[in-house]
Amino acid sequence: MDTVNLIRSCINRDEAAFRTLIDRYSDFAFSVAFRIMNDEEESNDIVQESFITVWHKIGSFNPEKKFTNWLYRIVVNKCYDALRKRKRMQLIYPDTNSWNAQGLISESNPERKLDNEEIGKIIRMLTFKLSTKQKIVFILSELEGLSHDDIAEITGMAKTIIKSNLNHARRKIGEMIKKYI
Amino acid sequence: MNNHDKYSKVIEALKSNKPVLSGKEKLTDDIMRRIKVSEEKPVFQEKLGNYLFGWADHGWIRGAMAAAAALFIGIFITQQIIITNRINNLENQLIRTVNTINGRKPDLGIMHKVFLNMVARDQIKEDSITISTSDLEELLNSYLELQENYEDLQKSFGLEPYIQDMIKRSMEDNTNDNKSKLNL
Repeated sequence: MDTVNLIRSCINRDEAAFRTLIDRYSDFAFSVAFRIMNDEEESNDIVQESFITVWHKIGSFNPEKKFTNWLYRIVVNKCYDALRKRKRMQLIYPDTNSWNAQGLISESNPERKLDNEEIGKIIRMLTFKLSTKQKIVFILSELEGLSHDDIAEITGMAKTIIKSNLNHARRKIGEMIKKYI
Repeated sequence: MNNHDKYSKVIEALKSNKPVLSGKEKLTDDIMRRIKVSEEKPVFQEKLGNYLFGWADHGWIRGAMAAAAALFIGIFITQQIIITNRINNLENQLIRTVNTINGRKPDLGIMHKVFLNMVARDQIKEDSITISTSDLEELLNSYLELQENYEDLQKSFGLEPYIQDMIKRSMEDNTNDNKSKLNL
């Protein structure tokens, strides 16, 4: 069943169709959430909350539109909330000693696979000095490979703001790479 | 390797290494279970929220409420401006009144003064008086002169007692004369 028909079935409260939808898109949702949050447990919670929101709000979604953008928006909003909460509770400082950044760009083993923990550490380290907005724009643009139009639709930001946030993020990450890698 | 190359390599490495969701089945089951629970038994708060604020789902009501809120805010601001202006005017009037009283203009009638005192009672300090330096000097001079005369008088009475007797006798004679005249 293609995504449009799957969504139509979900709108008609078909739970089996919704299970298929979760199977199809949970990896995608987790990937985005983890790249933003850098924490498996929190990312799992965000994926759960996001799909529950999808189930409750799917009636208002137009099946002809791009479902991934809508899902992105829900996941990103949940991440925003979680980051705000985390900011209020504590600030997690990255541990620069515990990660091997050099290995990331080593010529000897270019195909080396990174596990979730390593990915989390690297992203946390590189984006430590970024604001929430800058981090989200950077992840959506550079790591998820989305266009500025899609990012504008997902985040509700103007394109000029997206560009300026992305430039700031690139500059700061460049400084971090220069310093640590 | 320059910075730009390093940046590209790091981004490429992060892009190609997607985070992997472990326990996908469990996650799906958890979501389905939570959905069923929420479908079967709507939470009390949700029910109450829908009952109390369900009307907010209608677009035209939301618009009307927003317009009314904007109108009320406008009225409130206008009122505040008007009230502030009136308070300023009244304060200025009161200050002018108090200055007039403190100045004690001679052309004010007594009733006018009484009325102003009633209006601005709190603004005037009791037992206070305003006096110019020249008046104060004149007052002091008068006092010193009076004191000097008094001392002179005392001295003359003290040193020459016969003069005191003379004056006393003369005063008594005068009194007696007056009495006899009255008797006649």
